[in-house]
Amino acid sequence: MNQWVWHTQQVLGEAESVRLIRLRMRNELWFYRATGRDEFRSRYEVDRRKLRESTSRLRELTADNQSQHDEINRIGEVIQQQVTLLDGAMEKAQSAKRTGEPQESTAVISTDDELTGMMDGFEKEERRLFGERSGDVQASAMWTREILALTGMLACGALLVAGYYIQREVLSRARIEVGLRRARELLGTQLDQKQSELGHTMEDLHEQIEARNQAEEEMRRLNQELEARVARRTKELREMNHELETFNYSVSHDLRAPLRHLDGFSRILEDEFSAELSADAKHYLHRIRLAARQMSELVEDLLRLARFGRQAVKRECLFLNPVIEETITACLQEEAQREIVWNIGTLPEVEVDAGLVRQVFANLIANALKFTRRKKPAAIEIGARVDGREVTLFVKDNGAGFDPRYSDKLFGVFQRLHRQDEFEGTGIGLAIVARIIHKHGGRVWAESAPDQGATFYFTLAEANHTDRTTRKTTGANA
Amino acid sequence: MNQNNHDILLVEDDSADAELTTRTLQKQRAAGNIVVARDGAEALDYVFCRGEFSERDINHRPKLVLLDLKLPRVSGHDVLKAIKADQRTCCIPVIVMTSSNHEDDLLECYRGGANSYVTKPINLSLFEETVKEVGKYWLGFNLPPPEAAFELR
Repeated sequence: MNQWVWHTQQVLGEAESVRLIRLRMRNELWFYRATGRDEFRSRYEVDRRKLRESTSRLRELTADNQSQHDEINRIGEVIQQQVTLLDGAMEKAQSAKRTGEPQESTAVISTDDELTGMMDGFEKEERRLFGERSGDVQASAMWTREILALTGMLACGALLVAGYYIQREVLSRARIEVGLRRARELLGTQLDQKQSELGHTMEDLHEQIEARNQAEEEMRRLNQELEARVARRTKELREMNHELETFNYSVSHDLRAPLRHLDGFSRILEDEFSAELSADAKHYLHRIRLAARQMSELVEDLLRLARFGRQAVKRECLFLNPVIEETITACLQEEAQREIVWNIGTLPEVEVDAGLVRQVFANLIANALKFTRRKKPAAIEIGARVDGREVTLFVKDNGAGFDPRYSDKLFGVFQRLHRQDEFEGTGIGLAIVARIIHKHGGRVWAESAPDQGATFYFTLAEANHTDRTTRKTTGANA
Repeated sequence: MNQNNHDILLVEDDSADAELTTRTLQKQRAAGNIVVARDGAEALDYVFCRGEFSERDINHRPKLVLLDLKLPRVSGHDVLKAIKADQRTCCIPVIVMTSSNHEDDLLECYRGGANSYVTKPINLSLFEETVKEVGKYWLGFNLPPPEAAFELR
C-alpha cells in the first residue's frame, strides 16, 4: 500500500521538475541572446536533456493508470512542440551571434496557457489519486478493528486462531504505520528537495538578472565610447580639412608668386639685356623660363585637381549628345585645319553633375585629339552601352595608344606615358577624369596597344525618371 | 628714402613683387616717386610721420596707397582702418592689391573704406597689365581729392 503513496510523490515531483526545467530553458535562451555567452547555451542543452528524461520518467510512472498516462503523452507532445520552437530560436540566436545580426525579440509561445492547464489538471488528478490511495489504507485499518471486536465476542475458543490473526493484523498495522511514517518522511525529503531546488532556481535567476544587468551596463559603456570616438574623429577630420585648405592656399599663392618673379626677372633679362648676353647665356635663360612656365602649369593643374576633389557632386539629368557637340566645337577652334572623322553614337540621358561630366569629356576629347595628331585622317568614336541602370561610355581614337602594361598607371597624378617633346602635357587630365568618375560612384579604365589607338571607358548612372513621372508627363503634353 | 614729392605709397612685404610693381609703374611715367613700405607698421609710420619718418610733414600726403593685405606686424586691414579713421588722411585713395579674392576680405575692405580692390594675377603678363591699368586710372583719369578734404572740420 505505501508503495502507492511513494509513487504519487514521485509523479508530482517529476511534474514539478518538468515545469521548472521548461521555465529555466526559456530564461537560458533569453540570456544567451542578451549576453551571447556560451555558458547559457550549454546550460540550455543540459536542461533540454533533463526535460526529456523527466517526461519519459513521467510516462513510465503513469504506465499503470491509462488516463494519466494518456494525459502525460498529450503534455509530452505540447512540450515537444515548445522545445522545437525554443531550439529554433536558439539556433537563430547562435547564427545571429556569428554574423553579428541584431537579435530578435523573444519568440511568443502560444501553447503556454494550454500546457499550464494540462499540467494543473494532471497534478490535481494525481493528488486525487493519492487521496484515494491513502483513504484505502485508513479504511483497511478500521475494518481490522471491527474484525477484532467481533472475533473477541463470537469466538473465544478461537483465541489461538484469533491470536494468530491479531498478531498478523498488528504486524500488518505496524507495517502500515511504518509505511505511513516512511511516506511522511519521504514527503518531507521531497519537500526539502523541492525547496532546495527552488532555492537553486532562485540563485540561477539572480545570477541571470545580474548577467543581464552587466550586459546592459556593458552596452551603455560601449555606446558612450562609440559616441566619444565619433566626436573625436569628426573633430580630427575638421582639423584636417582646415589644414588642407590652408595648404591649398599656400600652394596657390605662396608657391606661385616666386614663379611669377622667376618669369618676370628672366624676361627682363631677355628683353633688356639680350645684347649683352652670349648665345649660351641666352640658351640657359630660355631653359630657366621654360622650367618656370612648366612648373606654373603643374601647380595650376594640381590646384584644379584639388578643386575637383573638393567639389560636391550635384546630380541632375543631362543629355550627353549636346555636351559632346559643344566640347568638340570648343576643342576644334585650335585645330580647325585637321582632318578628323567623328563617329558619335546616340548617347543616353544620365544623372550626373553636369559641370564635372563636361570636364570629363573635355579632357578625354582633348586627349584623343592630341594623340591622333599624326594620323591622317584621325578617327574618334564616342559611344555608349546601357546595362541596367549603368551606362558605359567610351571615347575611342586611332592615335598613338599606349603599352597596356601601364594601363593601371594611366590615371595617376603627373603620370605620363609619352615624352614631353612627342606629346605635351602635365599628366593630370586623366587623374581629373578618374577623380570625377569615382566621385560619381563609377569606374574608369582604358584599353590600348602601341600605335593601335586607345579606348577610354567609364560608367555613369542612367537618368531615373520613375520618380519624376508627373513632370515627364506634363513635359510631353506641353 | 627720398622724403620729398612722394606720389605713391606701395605697401608690399614681398620684395620681388614690390620691384616688379615699381618697375611697371615707373615705365609708364605716370607715377612720380614710389615709396615702398615692407610691412603694415612701417606704412603707418610713414603715413602718420612716426618713428623713422617723424621728420616728415604729414601734409605731404601720398597721392595713392597701394595696399597688400597679408602683411607682417600690422595687417593690411588695420592699415586701411587707421588711414580711414584719421581726418588728416581719410581721403587718400587706398587701392587694395592682394592675391586674396575671399569674400570676407572684400567685405572688410569695402566696409573699411577701400577705394578699390584689385586681385594680383598670378600670371606675369596679366600682373603687369593690371598694375599698368591701375596706375593709368588712379594717376591719370582719376582726379585727386582737393586739399580742403584733409582740413579739420
